[in-house]
Parts: sequence; structure tokens; C-alpha cells
Amino acid sequence: MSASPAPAESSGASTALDAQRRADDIHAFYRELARLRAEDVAPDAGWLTTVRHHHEPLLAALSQRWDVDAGDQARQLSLGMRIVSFIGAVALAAAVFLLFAQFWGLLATLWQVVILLVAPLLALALCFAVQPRDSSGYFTKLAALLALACFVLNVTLLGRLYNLPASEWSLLVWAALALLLAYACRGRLLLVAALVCVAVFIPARVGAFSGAYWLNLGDRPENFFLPALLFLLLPWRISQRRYPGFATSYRVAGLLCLFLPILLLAHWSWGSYLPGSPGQIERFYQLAAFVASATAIGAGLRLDLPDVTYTSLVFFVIYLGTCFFDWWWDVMPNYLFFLLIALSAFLLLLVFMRLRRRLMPELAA
Amino acid sequence: MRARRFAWRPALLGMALILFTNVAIFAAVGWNRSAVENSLILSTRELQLRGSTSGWLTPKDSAIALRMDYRFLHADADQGAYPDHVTSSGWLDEAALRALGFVLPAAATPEQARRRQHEIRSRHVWLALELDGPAYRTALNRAEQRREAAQELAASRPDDQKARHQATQAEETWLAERDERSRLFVIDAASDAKVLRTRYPNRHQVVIISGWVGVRWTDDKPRSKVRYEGYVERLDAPRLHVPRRFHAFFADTARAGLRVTVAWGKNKLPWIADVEPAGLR
Repeated sequence: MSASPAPAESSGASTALDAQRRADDIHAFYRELARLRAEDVAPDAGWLTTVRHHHEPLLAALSQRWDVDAGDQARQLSLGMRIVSFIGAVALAAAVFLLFAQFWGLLATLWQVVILLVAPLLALALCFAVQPRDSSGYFTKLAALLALACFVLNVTLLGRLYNLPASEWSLLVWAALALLLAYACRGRLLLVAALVCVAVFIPARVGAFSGAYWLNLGDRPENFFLPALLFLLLPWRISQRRYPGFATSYRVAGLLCLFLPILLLAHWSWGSYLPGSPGQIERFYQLAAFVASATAIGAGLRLDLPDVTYTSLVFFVIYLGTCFFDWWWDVMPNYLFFLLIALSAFLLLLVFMRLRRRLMPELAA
Repeated sequence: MRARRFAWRPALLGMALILFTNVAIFAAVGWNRSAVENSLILSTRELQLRGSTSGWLTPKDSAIALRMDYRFLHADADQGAYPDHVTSSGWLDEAALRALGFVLPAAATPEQARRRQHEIRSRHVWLALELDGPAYRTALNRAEQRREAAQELAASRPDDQKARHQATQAEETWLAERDERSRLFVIDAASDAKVLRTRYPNRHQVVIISGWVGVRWTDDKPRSKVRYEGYVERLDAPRLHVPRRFHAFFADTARAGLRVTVAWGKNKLPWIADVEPAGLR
């Protein structure tokens, strides 16, 4: 029996992530098949040939349409390309900044203004001109990062040129461009840049609205709960399936905006809006830290969100460590303190092993 | 991944965002510079090269910027050898701080003040900066009085090395006050710029600009109580960009001094209108 070649559309892959998962599953299938042969469990040869005739054109189509990694080696190369691309992007942005600093003052004001205005526009045009010809997307993302760097310079240097005070509104326009470019080019680094700008803008604006200097946004850590809520809700309400890694970025950013202020308030409560004595507020946030991180670990396991699970686990351990230090470092010998830490780690290990057995009942049997 | 078609919509949106941002900036600048509400002629005593106390250009940054050096006049003539802008001033006392809207905790002891320090946040206010006015004259007179007193003491104790040393220091301090130190003093603060302008109508000697005032406390040891005092945390526009056409004046460090005309516009934001050597007038 022979099978007709399967185009990429019939693979069920509507996103690059789906396509990569399908390719990974196919390769895992053949690896397991090799193990079965070694164990003298050989499936029907005719059926295998049919399956192989189905998979080969499918993999080729997936590779052509979605640029999926063909195997472990290709995956390693892709990771290498992403690392190199990231380094290149950061170096390019640094080069642009330093170039401006070196030669900026040698130009007349008119030329300074013209360059500041034209640079981001040209970089943006370059980004979208390259995109149709760039099947891998790496060069498009580099050009997009260059456009963002030029826009940041545009606003910053115009402010310096005309002695304008620094304003939190700059963050908003930078976030807007970064977000636009992130979704146009599917660039996670651009999305992270946008999230950082928004995460700083919202608390700064709330602080400025209440009369504080916007750069003193760390004085009120609870203002960061607003961007945390936004980042956690957004991927849940608006699907990010067409953008690989975006949902993860939103969730991790949201958790950082949630857990870091809680960590601060659990040990330094002066900036809290809550009524009560500093001790009461700190105890409240210490309790909230454990409840929030444990709840997030549970939610991550239940919803199959490893990013949520791992991030929350890291903070759970940090909270535990900082609380232990706060409570016991001064009241017991050092060796006893570290012994308690080790015992707590063993206890946590037992808890996680039990949780794991519950998730895999066949292993428990 | 299959290459895509040219994405017109995001490209146009991005360009519109960049253009809109720049138009908004230029509109604000144009509005500010449409009228000169204040102008001061400052010297290199009041303007420091930003990031440098020696006045040399840094080779890695070709832009030149200046920082206004302002001071406070200390309330107590005997406190400290000379006024310093980071110390408190007699006029930014608790009454003045409350008039600015600060709610000062009812703290009695230093420990209580330390615990409640975080409750007092900086406030955005309007500041009056006076150039070469009564505040500067007072500072100069105080330095001169300290010099005369130190010289008299040194003359009455010819073998006292410490007295001679103090007389030398007092002489140097007086000379610095007369020839080097900034003549720009912060003399008042209010929540409303118009109130300050009514009090100080001379637009060529007193400039009204915005900034942030913070509060700190000091331990009034004789009374075992704390005393709150204000200080200027920062100005909104502390930096003055030097246009390219004036760079030659600042590159030549052998010049005796400069007269820099700084103008403030409708938004109370400054710019350098003119630079000329001091010897021309």
C-alpha cells in the first residue's frame, strides 16, 4: 500500500510551534522504532514503508514552510543561530549608541535633528523591506532591533538637545514600537523589550499620578502588581499560538512583576499601601509569597505550563531561603541553620516525588 | 519558514508612531521657545561642564552639556565654612515645608524619625533662583567676617600655627567666595509659580523653575528631638545642551571666563541663547 505525499497543510500544523512538535514526534517515533528492532520487536515492513513514504514528504514540506529543525543537530545549530543573533543584535544596538556619542557633538543642530528623525524611519523601512526575502527571519529581527534602538536614541537625544526633562511617556512610545515590531517579525527579544517598558511605565505613571517623581517607582512595589495582572491575563484572553514563545514571555514577565515586589515587601514593607505596622505587613507578604508561589506551581502543573512551574518553583525556594535567614540566622549556630536548609530541601523533594507519582499512576503501580 | 509579503500596515503604523512622537516633541519645544519668560547671564562660576569638575572635554562624548551650580544660604552664619547646596537652609524649615504641602510625622526621637522617614516623599515645587543678589552678598560678607576674625586671632597669637593655618584657610575661602563660587542661590519655594513671580518680579535676576524638594531630619541633640529640613533633590531640567556653534568657547580652557545667556520659555524649560567671552563687556 502506498500513501500520497502529504502537504504541510494536512499535517495539522497551523503554527511554527505545531510544526516543530510534529517534526519532533516523527523523529522520536523513528528513534523508538530503532530501539524496538534492537529488542527484536519488529513491526510489519510493508506498514513501515507506507509510513516512511508519508513522513518523508511531510518533513520536507514542514521544513520548507516552517523552517523546522530536522533533528538534534539541526536544533543545536538553530540554538546557536539564536544566540549569535542575540549577540549581534545587542552589539549592533551598542554600536549605534556609541557611534552617536562619539560624533554627535560635531554636528550642527539641524543635522542632528535630521539624523535622529531619519535613522529610525530608514531602519524601519529596511526591516520591512528585508522581511519578504528573509525566510529564516533572523535578519528581519536584527533590522527591527536596529529600528527600535534608533527610536530610543531619537527620543532620548532630542530630549537632551532641547533640555527636556525625562518623562515616563517615552517608555510608552518605545513599548508601542517594540510591540508592533515584535508581532510583525515574531521577535521574542522585541516583545521582552516592550514588556520591560510597560512594566516600568505603569508603576511610574501611577506614582506620578499620585505626585511622586516617576523615577522613584521602586518606592511603591505594589504598583508592579498592575502590569503583573496585565501580562498574566493577556495570553489567556488573546491567543498567542501563532507567535512561538510569546505566551511564555508574557507569563514569565507577569510572574516576575508579581513575585519580585512580594519578595521586597516581605522583608521591607515601608513602601506598602497596606495599613498596619511594618511587622504585620511583612508577615502578611511572607505568607502571601508562599501561597502565591505554591498556587502558581500547582496551576503550572495542572495547565501544563512549564514556564509557570519553573519560575514559581525558583521563587518558592528563594522565599523559603530568605525567610529562614530572617527568622533563624541570628538565633542559631551556622551549622544548624544549614542543616535545617538541607532538611527542608529533602522534605520538598519528598513532596515533589509524591506529586510526581500522582501525575504518573502507572509508575506508582 | 516561507517568506512573507511586504507588510504595509505595520510598516506604516510604525512610521506614523515615530513621526507622531517627533511632532509632539517639536510642538512642545516650539511652544516653550515661542516666548522668553526669564533670562539670566551666567558665568562659568554658575555653570559646570556636566560630568567634569575640571572643565576638560571627554574624548569619548563629543556633545557638551552644562550643569547649573546653585547653592543655599545657611541660616546660621557660624555653621560650616561656606554654604553648600546639599545642606539645609534656614528658610526651608518645618513651617515652609508644611506650606509646600508636606505632612511631617509627629516624630519626637531620632529612632521614631528614622522609622517614619519613608512616609515623607519628595514633592514637585517651584523654586526661585537668584543670581548675584542679597543671598550671595550675605555669603560673601560672612566669608569676609570670618577672614577678618581669623586674621585678628592669628595676629594676636603669632606662635600659634593652628591660628595661622585657620587664617590662611579663611583667606582662601573668602577669595573662592569672591571669585569662584556660584552666585546662584535658591531663595524660595512655592507650589504656585505665580506666587513666586509676584514676590520676585525681576526676570533678569530671579528665575522661577520647577524641581523636587525632599525632606530629611537632623538630630537636635540639646533638645533630644528631631528637626526636619528641606533640600532640593533635583531640578526638572538640570542639564543645558551647548549648541555646536558655541563649542569653541568651551574647548579653550585658557579663556578667563564666559558670559552665558540662558533663557527660559513658556514651559519654564531652559536653553542657551548666547555665549560670549567675559572680557567683551
